[in-house]
Amino acid sequence: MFRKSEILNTSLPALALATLLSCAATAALAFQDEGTVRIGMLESQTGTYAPFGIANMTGTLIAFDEINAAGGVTVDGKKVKIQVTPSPGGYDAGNDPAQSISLLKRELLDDKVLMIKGISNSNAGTAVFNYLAELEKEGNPIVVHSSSVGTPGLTKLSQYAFRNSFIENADVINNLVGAAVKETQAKSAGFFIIKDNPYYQTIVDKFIVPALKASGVEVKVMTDGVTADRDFSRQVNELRAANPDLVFVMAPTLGTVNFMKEAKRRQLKPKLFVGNQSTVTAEALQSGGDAIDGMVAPGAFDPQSPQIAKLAAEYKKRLNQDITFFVVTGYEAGYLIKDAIERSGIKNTPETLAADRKKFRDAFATTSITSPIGQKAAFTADREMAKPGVNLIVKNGQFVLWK
Amino acid sequence: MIVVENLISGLLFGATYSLVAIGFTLVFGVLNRLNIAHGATIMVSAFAGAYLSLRLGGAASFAILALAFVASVLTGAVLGVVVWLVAFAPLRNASPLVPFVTSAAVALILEELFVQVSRRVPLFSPEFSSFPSPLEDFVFHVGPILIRGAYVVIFVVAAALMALLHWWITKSSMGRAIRAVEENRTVSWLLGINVTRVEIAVFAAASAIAGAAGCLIGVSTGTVGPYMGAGLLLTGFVIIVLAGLGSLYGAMICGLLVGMIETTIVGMVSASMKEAVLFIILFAVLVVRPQGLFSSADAQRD
Repeated sequence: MFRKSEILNTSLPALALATLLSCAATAALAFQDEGTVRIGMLESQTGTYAPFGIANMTGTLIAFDEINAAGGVTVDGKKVKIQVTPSPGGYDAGNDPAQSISLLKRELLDDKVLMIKGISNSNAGTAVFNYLAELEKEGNPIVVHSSSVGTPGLTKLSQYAFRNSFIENADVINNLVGAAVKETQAKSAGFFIIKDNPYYQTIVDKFIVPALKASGVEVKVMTDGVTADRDFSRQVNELRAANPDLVFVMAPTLGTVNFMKEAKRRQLKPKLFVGNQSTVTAEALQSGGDAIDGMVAPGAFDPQSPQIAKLAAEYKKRLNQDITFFVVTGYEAGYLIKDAIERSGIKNTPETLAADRKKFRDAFATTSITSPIGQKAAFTADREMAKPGVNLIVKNGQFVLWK
Repeated sequence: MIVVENLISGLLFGATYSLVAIGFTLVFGVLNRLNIAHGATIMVSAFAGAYLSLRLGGAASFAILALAFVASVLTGAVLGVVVWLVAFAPLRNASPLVPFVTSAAVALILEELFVQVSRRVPLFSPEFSSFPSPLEDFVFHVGPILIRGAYVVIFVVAAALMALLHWWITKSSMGRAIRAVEENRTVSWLLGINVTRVEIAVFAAASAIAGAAGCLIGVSTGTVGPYMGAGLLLTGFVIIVLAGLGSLYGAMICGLLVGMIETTIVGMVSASMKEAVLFIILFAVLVVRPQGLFSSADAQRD
């Protein structure tokens, strides 16, 4: 009879050796020989940012599935399939920046992916992009491409940080403000701004107020709130007292919806309500109802275009939800990644991985395509995308193009 | 006149804060433990009401609104008993910190569960969901002051619930048992009071009240979301500390007080100062009366 300790002493090393050998065999078979190119994915699938992360992830997976169904991507003269590692949707980055960094290390070192698609919010984005700068110094960098981080200047943190998020830049705002002033012949404007998210105040100070001043529009009142607010009577009363021609609502979706409901109850009737990119969501239409009818907002795309309708149908089929702009930017990212892989000249082997990551980064930085949603998509010198956007208006419970 | 309007709105909406705080206080009074899952119970109950309202087309029907309210209250009561079973009952002899952690874990699990529910149930939306009700646009004017009908209904329902609770605690045999256990658990047990039954009744009642608060808050904003309970938890804490831990009537009054302070600060100073000023008031009160506004200085627990 063997004693338990003897069995463990002899069996465990053998088991460990067998595991190591099988891992080595798998590694040799992976990449080009296996007919795949590995892409990491790190989106928030749980927690506060899950609505953005899951939308992003699903958009990208739809793109990858389409690409694979059409034969895959051409690498070193051979068609290979894009494989999200680990399948099917990479890792859940959750809410925690530290968790994102730890999973990034796993993708980088254990999963040996070519690049990572992901990071669903700016807090984690800041931490991860800073970490990329450290990896650059250590000589082991990897591209991380986000389709949703929005904080201005974020990709400047590292040469390997990229994003195709829709950002309300000067062009987008000038286009919207110009159209609003022209349409209403506005002479005055008022603001409702959520203060505990610096994004809104930044957009107001950097772009909207200068655009209004350039059009000769006087800013009469600025009233504020915080994300947790449930009652907006004070803000609406202040705006009613000032009676501006334009009212800018700079708040997340829930704040916008609740503010607009209070505005309706209190008969605040400017010539035009102007929202922001957070306004353009299915939740705003569903919960806002007729309170947000007639409101205009900048959007990343025309929701009624045939390309978007096709994507929306596929998204609905998968998640039984309406499309958001995060799905669209995620979808677009899938095709940006495909284009860069094919132009990069990578060999896609475990031995060339470090060099391939560098080649991919250089190719990705020069990407310039007409994306499948019909828009020109190219990175700026800071590795983000200056998208022109479109002006949308809420009409009969839908977002439609506005002049 | 805007200040008067803010004060009235704060007083009316503050009734929901009173309900939130009463639930906390009831549990603390009997078990001498804080139930961190209370906020999540509010959220889950609000979702139950919203589901019925969305399913049955509650935007124009007071009957459906009443049904949604009952659904929220029942959901709260059942969930309260589940929370007791999972996070409190097995840990009766553990350190007071242990149920604090286990109930916090239950809260996190429920929040994450409802993030997933919001994604997967077609009636809901991932970020937040509608709670349609006929009170949405119901307003009336008293001179130049505009008052929301929803707030008046909230105040009346909350006041009725508080009156009912007062009757239950002071007149019913279970109420007497609750007060006895609150006073001295060991002696109550020696006198033949079924302490476990009292605990279950308290959790069911406290969570049913939380369910009512969830429904009323959902109706007032017209929306529900997976994280709506987390913010209310902090407000609830402030109220029960301000009132004095375990003071039921103090929690009722301080809920209204906090509602008024909040809306007045937002109106007169700034929304971003709301919580800071609230905590300054809390600190000031605790310096002068460390036992809280409505608790006697010699109040002791066994």
